[in-house]
Amino acid sequence: MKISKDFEEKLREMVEKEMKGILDELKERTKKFTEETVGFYKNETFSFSKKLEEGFLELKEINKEVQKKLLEESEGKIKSLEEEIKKEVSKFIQANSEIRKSLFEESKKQAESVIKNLDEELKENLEKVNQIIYKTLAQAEREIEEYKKEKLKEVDERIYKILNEVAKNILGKTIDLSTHEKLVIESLEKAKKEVI
Amino acid sequence: MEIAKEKILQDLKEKIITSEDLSFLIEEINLAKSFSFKDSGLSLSEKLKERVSENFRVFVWSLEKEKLLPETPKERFSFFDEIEEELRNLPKVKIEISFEPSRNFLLQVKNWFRENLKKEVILEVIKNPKVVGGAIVEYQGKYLDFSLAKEIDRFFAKKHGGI
Repeated sequence: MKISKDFEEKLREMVEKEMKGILDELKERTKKFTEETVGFYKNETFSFSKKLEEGFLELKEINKEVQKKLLEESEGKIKSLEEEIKKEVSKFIQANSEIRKSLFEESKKQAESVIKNLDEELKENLEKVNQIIYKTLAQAEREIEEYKKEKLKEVDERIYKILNEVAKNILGKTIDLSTHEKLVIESLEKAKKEVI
Repeated sequence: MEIAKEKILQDLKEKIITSEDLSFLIEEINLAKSFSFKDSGLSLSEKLKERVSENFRVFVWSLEKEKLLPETPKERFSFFDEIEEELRNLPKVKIEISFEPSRNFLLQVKNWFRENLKKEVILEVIKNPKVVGGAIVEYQGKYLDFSLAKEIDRFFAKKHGGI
């Protein structure tokens, strides 16, 4: 089959027309869809922004209240903290005073103890020195006494010798044991005559 | 018992010559006193064995044998106590002589006092060479110096006005 040129031309025109109509409709629909979508998103965005703004304002209010509450609480806490600090400072001052007092007392005690120890040490040393002096003196006295005794003994011995010599001269003989005994009995006899 | 005690005392008085003898005897009497109370089933003379001199132990034994020792501890204690008291009260004579006397000589002196004073005495003998010879006697508060030293002193006092 052979298609005439004219028919071909008419068909082309008709297809082109049909295609144009379809494209125009498609364009129209796309435009409409786009406009609708944009409008929807615009509305949604607007609504979301508004909600966001409202939320923000609400949050701001809440924040203000929280801030106020926090401020009030903080003030209370600060006051309480101040009170506590005052108390602590007062306690510290008191403790410090007590520590100072205790330290002073302790220092005083230690000083007294040191003085006492020194006193005792001094006394001990004095006692030791005194003992040494006494010992030395006693030793010296003993030595003097011994020397004196020795010398007196020597003198006594000389006197006995002389006396014995004298007695020997008087009696005309040396005094032996029997003579001594005889002289004692004679003394008793004399005593008897005199007193006994 | 009293007569027996007197005899015992006389025996003891005769045996004691010096103050040392007396002290020694009193120590032994005190032991006898303390052992009088210790009941061990033994006689006192057995209990005192090796604790006192053999002379004293034999003396106690003879008292037991002759039954002169009281039987109860308390009476025995009093018996010894009275003896001790009597002995302590014996008169003492202090004699100062120049030599170391023998026991025999001291007995002779004691006998001299017994014969001449009719008394038992305790001699307190002091050896002092300064006496030279003779004796210085102290009795009942009297001091009698019959020493050669005094004679010599007198001699020199007469001749030269003292040593």
